[in-house]
Amino acid sequence: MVPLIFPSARLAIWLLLALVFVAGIGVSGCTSETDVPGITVVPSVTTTPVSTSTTVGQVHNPADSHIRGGTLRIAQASDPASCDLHSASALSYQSVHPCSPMLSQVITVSTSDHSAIKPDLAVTWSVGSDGVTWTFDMREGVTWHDGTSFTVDDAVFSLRRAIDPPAGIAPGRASAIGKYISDPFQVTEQNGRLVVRTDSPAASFLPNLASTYVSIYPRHATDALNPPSMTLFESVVGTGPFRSGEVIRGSRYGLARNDVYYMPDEPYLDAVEFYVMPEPAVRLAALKSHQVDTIAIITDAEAQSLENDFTGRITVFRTPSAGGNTVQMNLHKAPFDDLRVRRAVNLAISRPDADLALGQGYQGVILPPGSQFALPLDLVSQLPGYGDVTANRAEARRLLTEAGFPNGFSTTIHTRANPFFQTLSEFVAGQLAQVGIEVKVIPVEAVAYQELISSGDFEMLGHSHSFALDDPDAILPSHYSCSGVENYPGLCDPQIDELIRLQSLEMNPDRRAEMLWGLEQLIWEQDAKVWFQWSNRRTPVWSNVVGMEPGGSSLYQARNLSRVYIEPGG
Amino acid sequence: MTYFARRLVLGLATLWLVTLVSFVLLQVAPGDAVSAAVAGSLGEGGLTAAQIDQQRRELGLDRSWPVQYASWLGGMLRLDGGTSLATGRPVFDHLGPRVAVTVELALFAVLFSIAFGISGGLAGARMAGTAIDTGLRSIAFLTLSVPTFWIALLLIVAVASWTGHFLALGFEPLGVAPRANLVSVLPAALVLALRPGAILMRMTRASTIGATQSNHFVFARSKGVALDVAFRRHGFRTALLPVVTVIGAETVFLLGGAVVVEQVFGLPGLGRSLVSAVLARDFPVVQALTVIFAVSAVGMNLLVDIMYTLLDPRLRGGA
Repeated sequence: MVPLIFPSARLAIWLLLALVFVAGIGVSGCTSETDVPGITVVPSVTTTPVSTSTTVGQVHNPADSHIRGGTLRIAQASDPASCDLHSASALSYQSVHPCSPMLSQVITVSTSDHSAIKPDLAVTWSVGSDGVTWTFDMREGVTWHDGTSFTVDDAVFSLRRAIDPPAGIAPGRASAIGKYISDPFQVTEQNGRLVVRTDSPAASFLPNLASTYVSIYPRHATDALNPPSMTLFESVVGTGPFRSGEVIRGSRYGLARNDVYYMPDEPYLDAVEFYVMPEPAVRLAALKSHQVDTIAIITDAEAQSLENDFTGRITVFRTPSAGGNTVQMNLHKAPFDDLRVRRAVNLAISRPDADLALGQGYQGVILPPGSQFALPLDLVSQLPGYGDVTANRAEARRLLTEAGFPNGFSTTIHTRANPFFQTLSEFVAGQLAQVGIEVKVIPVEAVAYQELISSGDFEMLGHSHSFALDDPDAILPSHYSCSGVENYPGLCDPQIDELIRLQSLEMNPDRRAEMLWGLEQLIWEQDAKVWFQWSNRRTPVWSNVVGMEPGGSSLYQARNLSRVYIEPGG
Repeated sequence: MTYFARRLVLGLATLWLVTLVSFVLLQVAPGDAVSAAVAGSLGEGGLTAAQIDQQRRELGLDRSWPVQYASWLGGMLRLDGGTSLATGRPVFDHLGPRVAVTVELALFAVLFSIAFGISGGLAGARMAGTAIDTGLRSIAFLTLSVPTFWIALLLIVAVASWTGHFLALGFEPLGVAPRANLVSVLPAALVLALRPGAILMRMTRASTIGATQSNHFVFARSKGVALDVAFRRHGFRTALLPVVTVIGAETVFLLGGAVVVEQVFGLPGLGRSLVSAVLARDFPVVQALTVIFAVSAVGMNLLVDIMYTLLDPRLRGGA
């Protein structure tokens, strides 16, 4: 029998009261409408040590429609691993998006038209009659964030470093320009101009030079430090519209306006804050409650939900992505060593069903649709996999029977253990079941998956690709040449390799396009890496954020953000 | 050798073994820091095989496992944790600020769990069999049954939906902005405290009821000792012994729970560092964190042993 009354009862009550009191402090802290750093109180005020509010302190510029001031808030999944975009440590977009507003390039691409090359630190450029000597007239009066003057020598230093990084720096995507420049000393300064001599005429030299990853760093602030200063977000010295602001690792990365940016009157914003939120559901909740203005990637279902629930308040940009969904078959594993089986797989997948299941996409084959080099739609529609789905599947069954599989067969499809890859793989499995191919989907953790595809120990892959650069030279050698690092199916055709080499040398865009169209059809006929859908990238942005272009077709596109501004309210 | 010296030697041996096992596990796992970096860019690395090999050489990953382990262990003995393979920064520079975050989170969570667990347990024992007791036990049961991850997510989403306030928007260091710090840490600590609090509540309730039903307690009461005196001398103290054990064990568990809570609330602590480091196959950071967690576990167990001797005079002879 437990005694009904003893001193511990009083103790228990006091402890419970204390608990309620302490919890109350937490709750009251959450609901207080004071200027707590890092906390935003809906609807109006954001106060952080480096920022002003989104509505307080904004000034209308009478000469223009934009508004100066305010803070743009962005949530992303992880910290920027490095701001040294020349290195392999900075491959991910979580590095590119926060770091690139601090940096400039020699030339860049338009965010609205990815094929359009734009001036950045170079104002004009030309190629000599030899077709290999490129001369860039560089902008004058440009100042680094530390107050020193930008010189052409800084550009020479940066390009040489991108091609041939110093010991300890693993080369990243920037090293792609090394394909055209075998010796870094082919980059020089002559008469105050930047001069680059390529090994041979190279049609894709400019697009590769315009890659986000070929950013320009100051020689004086890079040589002195080891590891280089640009590795750390807070010590980056650039010439971009924003300089580094307050950083709390693992939580927040701030950018502050560069008041001496070389574009007059830009940037419009006072600051940009990148918040690190690892969980997708948390990022989405932060967006919905308007604690952040935009997040990077959402699923189609989430996009539809936002469009329904936040009509007029949140805009979901659906931009054609330089990437999409593929099913890839290992040419070294039976039965996929048989072209008839691969063709059957291609024919079994309904493109309209993909749009319904995975979100609206685009038709296309080897190069991203929309570029001048992509196969025209009238030619695409004649290729295997397009046209009438019922007829395609009947043909697929016939091919399977001919290949010795009248009742289909069982196989596996490996994919990455994330919602995007798993959904597309489940979709493929459902489609192949229509022609009697039974597919077991095997999700694998990201790094283990990388090892798996590198080793070739798989039968099929459900894989979503996203290109850093929408350019034939950036895509074809890597994905379709015999030695391509992303040629996971193991396709190897000397004719394809030769055509990949030749198109790169063709400087006339029209003739190059014709060469590429033939090449694309040739690759497609192999049915090894089947692009059944080129996808949209879905970027939700609160509607009071103006000028926030989602960054061209590539997720890895630099974000300048200098012409973004925030309208009051929202 | 004294009792504590023996415990210390055993603790050090445990530490070494833990580092060895974690190192081997990380080596056995598919992939390394280089493939993790490539995989981290949505599978579109674009690096050539030669570039990947070069990076492996730069990071020392082409060396044999024993050489890598010996190199790391030698560094640790000189208090040099090495360099992060993912960021190129010194490991201890990277982890330093994060220790404070997790320690603060764990301390608040321990306080909450003790307050919630002991008070709830005592109240349950005091009112055993009543509706309040049933209610408290049901709360404990529910808390233990629902994953912390889910509770944390639900809390954030629900608070954001209902009030417009967001519980996971950035973190401010305690020394810089104390109030903002508490606003970001306290909700996470409350969630983290739920599980150990529920366990403590059940343990406190059971041991208190047991103590008040024991012969020595009944004997004291039959001699006429007042109820409050009997409880203080013969009931509460006896009941505390298993409770202290649970507090020790659950404090160690809190560090594991912090992995989930920090991830959801976006707190830049050791737990989140561990998740990132494992995914990035960043073995110097994983190893350093393993040592930190192991030291915490061993230290907490030693502390519990000391507490035992203070609470139970019978153990002092063996100390």
